[in-house]
Amino acid sequence: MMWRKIVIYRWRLAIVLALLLLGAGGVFGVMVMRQRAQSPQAAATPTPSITRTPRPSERVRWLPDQLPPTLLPPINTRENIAQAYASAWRQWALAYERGTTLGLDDYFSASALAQVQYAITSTTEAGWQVRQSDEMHTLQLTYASDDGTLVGFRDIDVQVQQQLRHRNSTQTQTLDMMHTFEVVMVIEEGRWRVRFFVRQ
Amino acid sequence: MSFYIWLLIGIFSLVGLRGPAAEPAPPALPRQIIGAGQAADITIGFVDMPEDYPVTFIGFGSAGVMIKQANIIQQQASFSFSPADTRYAGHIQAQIRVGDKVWELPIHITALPDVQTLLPVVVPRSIVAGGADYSLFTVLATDALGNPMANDTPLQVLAHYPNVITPTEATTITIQNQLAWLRLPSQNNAGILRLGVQAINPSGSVAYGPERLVRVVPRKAKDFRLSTSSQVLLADGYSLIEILSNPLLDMYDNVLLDGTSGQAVVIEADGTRRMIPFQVREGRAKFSLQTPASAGSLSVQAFIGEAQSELLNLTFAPALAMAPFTIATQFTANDYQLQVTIAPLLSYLGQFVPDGTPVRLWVTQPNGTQNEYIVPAEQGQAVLNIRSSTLSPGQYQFRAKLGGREVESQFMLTR
Repeated sequence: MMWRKIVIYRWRLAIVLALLLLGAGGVFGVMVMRQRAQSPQAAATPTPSITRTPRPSERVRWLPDQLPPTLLPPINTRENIAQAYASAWRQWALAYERGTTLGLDDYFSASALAQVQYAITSTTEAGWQVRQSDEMHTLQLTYASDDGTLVGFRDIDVQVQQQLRHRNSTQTQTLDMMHTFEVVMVIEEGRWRVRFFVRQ
Repeated sequence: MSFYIWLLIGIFSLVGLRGPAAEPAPPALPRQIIGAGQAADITIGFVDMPEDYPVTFIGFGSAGVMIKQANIIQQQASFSFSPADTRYAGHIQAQIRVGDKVWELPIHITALPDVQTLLPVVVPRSIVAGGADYSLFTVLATDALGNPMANDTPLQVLAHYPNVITPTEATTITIQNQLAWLRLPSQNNAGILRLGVQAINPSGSVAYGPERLVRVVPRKAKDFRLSTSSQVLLADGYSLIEILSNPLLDMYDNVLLDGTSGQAVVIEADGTRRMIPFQVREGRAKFSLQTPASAGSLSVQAFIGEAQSELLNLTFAPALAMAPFTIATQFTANDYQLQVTIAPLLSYLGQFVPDGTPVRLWVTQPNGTQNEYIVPAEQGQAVLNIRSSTLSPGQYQFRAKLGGREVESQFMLTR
């Protein structure tokens, strides 16, 4: 009988202690929340900000032409060339990120298209996920046909970053280098496409 | 074919490695040159490195980023490059990474020495004879793998000018900045300028490209003469006479291209001018002129660009209304219409004038209002029906004209 009383007493004691602990925890939680709400960081209301995505051609600047003396600089096509070239880089980066070559043929043709397609498939098949970003392109015209449908130029010292992550591991490799490309672009089916694309 | 390179890197230990960020320019390994499409092995030797330690090759070239991994086995790490890896010419700026240590490894992939494909592009496709105008002949040359040819690769351009028996001697041009080009002036002869390009390869083979054509068009026309093949010019108002010029030539005696536009001016006897646009056909200015309805003279002059013809004077004999005609008026059976009949309308042989020949008729109403009608002839007469309800009582005057003849008549409406 005595033994039974002791057991009941212990259970009651445990329940009372548990309720006390819960109450203390609740009070502590409310205090912490109030303190956070009164802190200057939390009090500051976030101000909405608008960041404009730059147009692709805004990431291109032209150096003075280095055309042979008998060739004429193109008229009214520089903006289109810059737009198409910067878009080609953007599409390339997008293809890396998605791991698919879809859409590349809108910006690359012939061997340049095969080149970038290989770039995507070779890394994807090896299990690498690539994120690529490029910065300001500095172009210098080296050739322009009289009718303005074929141009050659140099893309000088463009900063390109790659981040590679293997899908089966947490390993990440980054590459951040400056490159110079020799490029030939032509108008094919009504739009500028990269025809030759050689890293110098 | 395997390309085996042994690179010995200086002695270092894993303990002594430092992070690459501390070194602004990583030390460079000797530059490697690999032919496009060739398999290659690059082996890097180490000293005092633990077995199975991972080594990473990472680089960026014409075909994007390339990454390979290997482990150190017996103090060596070997990287294999398949023909697909080395297919695209250009420079690969690569790094060898061991732990946090980095070495730069420049690799250059060279295009194949032989030209495989030649793609000529010529603009403009049409130039003017005389040597002052040029076409720009551009060639995109690639090797068997599609790589643009290296600088200074020679190509030969062959041109066959129009009306010249033999083609010109081959002109050698060289690839610069991935393409080669040549300006080709026109000569004095108009016609088709044929262009070809070929490359004589170091291996002895020859690469050929497709033909390109440039149309060399004549310069400005010289002044010319007009004539007509019609011996008899009748002012019947409907016949067409053909005016044609002598062969139209430019200053180098090239015949002008068919389709060249011109303008003829017809100057009537009263000084009225009208324009007839025409196009050169069979090397001549050819156009038709509708004969006037009344006899008299007119002049024709044609212009093609700055060139002009001499004035061609034409005299037309009368051919319409050779006999007097009358204007008869009568009401139809139900008095519903007033019928005005102009007849007989005869031509120069006494035959009816052709059906459809327009007869001008002026009707003056009692209040002085005058209306003009053009009534087509049919079976030698022209008939105009006027609804009776529109007529008010009084004196009506009719005047009809065909060719050079005019007839007047009067009609009194009493009711």
